[in-house]
Amino acid sequence: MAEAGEVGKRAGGEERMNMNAEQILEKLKESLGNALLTYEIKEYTMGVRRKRTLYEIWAEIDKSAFRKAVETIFNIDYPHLHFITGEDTGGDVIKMIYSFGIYHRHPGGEISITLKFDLPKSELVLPTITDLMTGAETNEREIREMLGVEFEGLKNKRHLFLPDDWPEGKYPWRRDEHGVDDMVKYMHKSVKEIRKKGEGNA
Amino acid sequence: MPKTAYYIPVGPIHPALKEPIRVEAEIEGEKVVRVDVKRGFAHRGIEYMGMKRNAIQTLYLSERICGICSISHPYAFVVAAEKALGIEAPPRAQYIRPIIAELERIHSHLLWLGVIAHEMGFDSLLFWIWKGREKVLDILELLTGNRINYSVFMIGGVRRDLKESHIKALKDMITYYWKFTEKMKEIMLSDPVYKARTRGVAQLSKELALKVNVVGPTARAAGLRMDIRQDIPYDAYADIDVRAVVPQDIVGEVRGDAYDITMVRIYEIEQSLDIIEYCVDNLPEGKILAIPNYVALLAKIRRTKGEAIGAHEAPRGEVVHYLKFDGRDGPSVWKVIAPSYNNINSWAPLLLGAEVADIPIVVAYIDPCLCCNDRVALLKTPEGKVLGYEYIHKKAVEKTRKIEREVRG
Amino acid sequence: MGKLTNFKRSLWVFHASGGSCNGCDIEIIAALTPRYDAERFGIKLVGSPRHADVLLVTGAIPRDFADKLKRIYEQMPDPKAVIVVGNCGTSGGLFYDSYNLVGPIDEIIPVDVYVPGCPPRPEAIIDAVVKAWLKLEKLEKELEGKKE
Repeated sequence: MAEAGEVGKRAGGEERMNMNAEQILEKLKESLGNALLTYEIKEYTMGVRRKRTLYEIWAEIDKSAFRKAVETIFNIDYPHLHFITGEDTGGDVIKMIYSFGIYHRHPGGEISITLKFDLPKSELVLPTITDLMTGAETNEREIREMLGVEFEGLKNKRHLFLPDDWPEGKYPWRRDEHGVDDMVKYMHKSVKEIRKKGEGNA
Repeated sequence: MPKTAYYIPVGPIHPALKEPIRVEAEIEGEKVVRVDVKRGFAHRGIEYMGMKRNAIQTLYLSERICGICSISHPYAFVVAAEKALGIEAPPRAQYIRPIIAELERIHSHLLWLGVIAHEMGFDSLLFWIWKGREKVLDILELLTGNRINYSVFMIGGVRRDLKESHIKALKDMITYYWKFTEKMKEIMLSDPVYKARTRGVAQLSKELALKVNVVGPTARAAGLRMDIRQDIPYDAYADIDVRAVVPQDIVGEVRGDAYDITMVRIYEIEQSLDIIEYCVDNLPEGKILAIPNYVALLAKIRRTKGEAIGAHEAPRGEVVHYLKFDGRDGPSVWKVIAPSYNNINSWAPLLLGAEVADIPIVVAYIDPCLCCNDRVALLKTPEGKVLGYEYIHKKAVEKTRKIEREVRG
Repeated sequence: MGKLTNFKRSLWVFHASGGSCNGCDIEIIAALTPRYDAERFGIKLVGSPRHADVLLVTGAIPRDFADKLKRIYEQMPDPKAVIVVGNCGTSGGLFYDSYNLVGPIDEIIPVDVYVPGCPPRPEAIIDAVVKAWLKLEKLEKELEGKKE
């Protein structure tokens, strides 16, 4: 893993050549092999008078290669973790999405790498990445309480946003029997209801 | 010496808000030795609600995630939605959007400067700065119709246009604020009392900033050149070469403490004034919405399958929205990361070893927007005394007065 | 509107925020800054509900804040008035179908003045405080009448 000091030096004056999106994809291919299922480099043009192209790498990987993929990214450049989220499509997998940004601090040169993989609902366990980046703890705690995914090695397992007396087994982002549709309170009242309530008081 | 645990409800972000951000800390003498930060007092379930509504309703919902950075969440949402749908806003809209975003940055930084003045005990400075802030709120009301929660952004452009009379008002405001920041620099940066009070307080090093994943002025004060307008430019920022404002460019050295972050914020106000002036002088002609008919827009969303990430540099840091369109007329997956989400990670390491009198400054250092993030509460340890916020605020003010006496003689 | 005749002391206000977006809270504080200057009427923000005459509440209330709000209301001495600022507290506002919010404030504590708006302007908030002031005058007269 690159030393934080080395990375700091690069921020001021470019000392190493940055890889472009294709080279990063090659590196991922050679370290993951068959575990890299599909990949795509998306290009976006931004700007009015001076058009710039921005690149993003979107890759679907196999769940077993997750930790290796993250370590490869950390070896290229110490990234910034954009977000971790997950989608419950209603079946029996949860699709996890991790998004990193590398080469930030270079004008027009940040490349986002987004990894997607499927987790079966029968085995919702993932290794933690807090040993590589302490700040990822917040994201992992949120996923733990919103989707029910366990992280091995995560030290702080307390609730992040939900209150402490939240019922067990209820995960807000899930769309199956663990969802929270029965806990929703509909606050809007129709005019008729309000008038009826008022008549009781008057 | 036996250790006593004190609960310190580290007070509000604004001088009168009473909702506790409570940080539990163990104190020995005057120093904090153990810190525990817990969040989650104001969770509203916004992402859950957004996944059930249509895209335009979700856009309005995202505005009210936070009242202070009110245009940042819609901006990131709109950038993500346009990337996912493959539509491009017309050039005039691409120049109007940064104008509103930079106006918001000015008002938010002035708010923070007032708050930090209050935390140190300079209350008249707070009122003077907030009076100066009213001018930018007047301009925002002239352009958009409201002082807070101005809903002018729409997927594919903006909803209101800029008129000739507005442009004259904008130029007057820019002249006014250049004079204002000169005075701010004199009052805050050149004042020996302020310098003595903030040098060395809440010092964040570059390595720690990278590890805890901070963003925005917090990262820039530590010396990292991180700025979404520079790294992933969008709209008119791609034409202007925006560079991150870091202390090493201004004074030559960087220490990452409260003095540095004040400097970063004041210079960012000036950078915003420059950006507004450029956008106003080079405003292209044309229409302002790519798809003016909302029914057609929603139909297009229903037909599209795509996902995208949109990021914007809010006054506090990076705001990221992730959207996935999957056959509904709204997002089926929506994730919001506000800047304070990550910045609050820096409280635990910064508070260790700090004095009780510096706690309000460390808390206000990152400019926490708790509604963007939900509040921070405390863990309870078995025995413990609760120190009120007034006590801590009083200690912070006393330390300032002590320093004032020493410096001014 | 009637004339303020009997209230001989200045009005102290306690502000509680239950899960709001902070827009209304910023407008409440802007009402104290020199542009709108509520302080010239003697309106002051205090730090504890035990010293307050008027309670300003914002936000739709999350689940675990509801009993705290009741406790704050009970700690205030009589005569007291409650002002709800903003759409979220009046009727739920935008957040009408959440799993963690328990609804408009008048289902938890009795409310005297509502200020709709998202957010309401500082002038509207000062107007609401003056209305509460008039109501408090009436309540104070009733209390004194009961004592005799």
